[in-house]
Amino acid sequence: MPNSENTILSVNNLKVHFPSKRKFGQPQRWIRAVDGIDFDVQEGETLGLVGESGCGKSTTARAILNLIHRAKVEGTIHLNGTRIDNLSDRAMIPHRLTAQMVFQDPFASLNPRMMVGNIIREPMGNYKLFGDETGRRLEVIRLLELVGINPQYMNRYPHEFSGGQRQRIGIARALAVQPKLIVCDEAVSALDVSIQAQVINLLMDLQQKLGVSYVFIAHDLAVVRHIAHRVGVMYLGKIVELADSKELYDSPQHPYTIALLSAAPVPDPTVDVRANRITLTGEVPSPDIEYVGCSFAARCPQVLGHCASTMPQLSTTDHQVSCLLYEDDNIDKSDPPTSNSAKVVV
Amino acid sequence: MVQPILQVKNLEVEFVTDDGIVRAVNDISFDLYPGETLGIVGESGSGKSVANLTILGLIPQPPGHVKGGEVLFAEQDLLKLSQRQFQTIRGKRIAMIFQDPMTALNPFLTIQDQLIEVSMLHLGHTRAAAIQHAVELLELVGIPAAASRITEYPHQFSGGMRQRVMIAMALSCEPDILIADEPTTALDVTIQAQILDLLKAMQDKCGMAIIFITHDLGVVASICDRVLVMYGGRKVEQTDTKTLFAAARHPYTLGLLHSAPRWDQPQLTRLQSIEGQPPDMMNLPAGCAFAPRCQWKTDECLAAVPELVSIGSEFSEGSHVFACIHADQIQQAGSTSPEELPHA
Repeated sequence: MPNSENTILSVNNLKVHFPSKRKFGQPQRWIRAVDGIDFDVQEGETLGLVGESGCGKSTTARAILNLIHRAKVEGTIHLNGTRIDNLSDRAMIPHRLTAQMVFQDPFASLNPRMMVGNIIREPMGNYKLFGDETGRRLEVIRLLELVGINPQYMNRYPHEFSGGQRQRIGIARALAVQPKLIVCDEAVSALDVSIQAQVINLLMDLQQKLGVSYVFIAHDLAVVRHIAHRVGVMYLGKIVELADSKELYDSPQHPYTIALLSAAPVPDPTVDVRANRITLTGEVPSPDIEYVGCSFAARCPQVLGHCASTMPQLSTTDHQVSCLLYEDDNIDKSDPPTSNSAKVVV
Repeated sequence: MVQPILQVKNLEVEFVTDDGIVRAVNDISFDLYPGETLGIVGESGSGKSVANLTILGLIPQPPGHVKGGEVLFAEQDLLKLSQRQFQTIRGKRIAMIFQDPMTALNPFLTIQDQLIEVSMLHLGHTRAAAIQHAVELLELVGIPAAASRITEYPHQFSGGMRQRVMIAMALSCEPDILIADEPTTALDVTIQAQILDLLKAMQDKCGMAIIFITHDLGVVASICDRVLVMYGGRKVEQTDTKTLFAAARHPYTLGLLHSAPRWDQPQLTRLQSIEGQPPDMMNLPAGCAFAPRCQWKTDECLAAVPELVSIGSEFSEGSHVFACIHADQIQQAGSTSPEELPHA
């Protein structure tokens, strides 16, 4: 249930399991893309979700907007106080006024046969917003100015714009119904650094002006630190750590977060990243296994004897972490790490 | 005095399209020395990939057209070689790793078939010896159970493993030069760290020179010895990595450095973005290509393309080449923190 009236989005124990292709004579296997995650987003807040490919960030994004089909979805999602996870596509329509999405690929997410003015006007027309066509036209002009595109270009087609401009158009379209929440799924990943900075600044300005909330999903740790108030780190369908952005980056607790941060390159040759880098051995395992214990145990440099058999729970403190190292005070912390500890590169 | 292993001189490449001529590479020159890693940085469309594909003779002609310049390697101009002559160099003495490990491998052939082709052709190995060599290479790049996995197909490998296969393939003839075109862009950070370490280790072992093309300044800082910055198909700045990050003199480089968010520092409220859009390569401005986006621009900038100015001799500590007439002003501004910069 939503904690307070300022909560825009509340996700409780969300699970999304996709059926994998069934082989003859074998039981159905499930890809556990999202495997029990909880988080809230407050009004005017940005929640960042980071993780490597296959960790379930994009599935989470689509699940929030009830866009998942042909999968087993469990748990509850409350959008602005209303439960939406059990709604049909038709029943979902009014709730799309509350939450919108900005997609990763600015080349694939705009209809190439529509003029950009019409792309932005279409959602307004669907919901009969802003009175009549004239009102909507004025709103389109206002939105284009807001995102920094010359309104004279409203009769141009998407291919006439660069990647960064197209992403601005995608943002204007998301803003067209005046949503309270925008889900950005890798919204700046496809852009060059200088253009990426422009779009990040735009998103932050819009939040100040309009009070909109973001769920900002990205694999780039630096971008997420810059834009998010709170950050959740995902690994194999679970949130392993969730904390205030500064807190998470300055004093990460989960061994996966620590390894992830130590692997991220720093644009400064005087910082010797290699000196304290923790190189994880192996790769993210397949998400079709149901773990009894911690799913990170096999790669964890600080693994304890009982990690593979005991499921850690996300703590309920301000700095939430899901790791046995921090879970139980009566566990012997001197429990020696087993042999698969990752090597530290010197 | 160390002799450069590769010299690119005044390279010009253009593409003739229905809409006009795209001048992708304009007057690029650089030297590559044995055992060093030269980073080439620039945004999409800045010509960094085209320049390197030209070195390997991989530009489709037409529509591509090498308008001028020379690429000197082993006392010959690579641009004058026939495709047949090129076969003796490409893959053997100069090898390349591509950005996308998903598409760079042939999905219809096993890893073994793709790996042994190189050494059978260039080193004259028999099939059995080539397989032996290939297994050793896969072990070298850290693929577990290489002997059994070698008969698998690319789709059975993850992205990071495929990039390792690409590296193994590129290293199979111990090339003098390895051109790596955004080899880690498609990979996750933890896998990227593994691949960068691997490249560094392979370089220490084989002593090859690496041209590392990337747009990620974090990657540049961690792997490159020297850096060349491209904008609008031209070289705008070149120096050693430390100098570039500490005392950049071209406004574009400075803009790039300031617009990249950093995870290891407290966040600023706004990023210093470079306003405006990258230039249209079909209609490059008469003067400096960066001028329309530059906060230091004056009328002089619009009149003529700024000459490359050089400080110190090349390859010596602190040597610095840049193409900006306001470089002195910019260096002063660069030493202040980003928040204090005048905003355009």
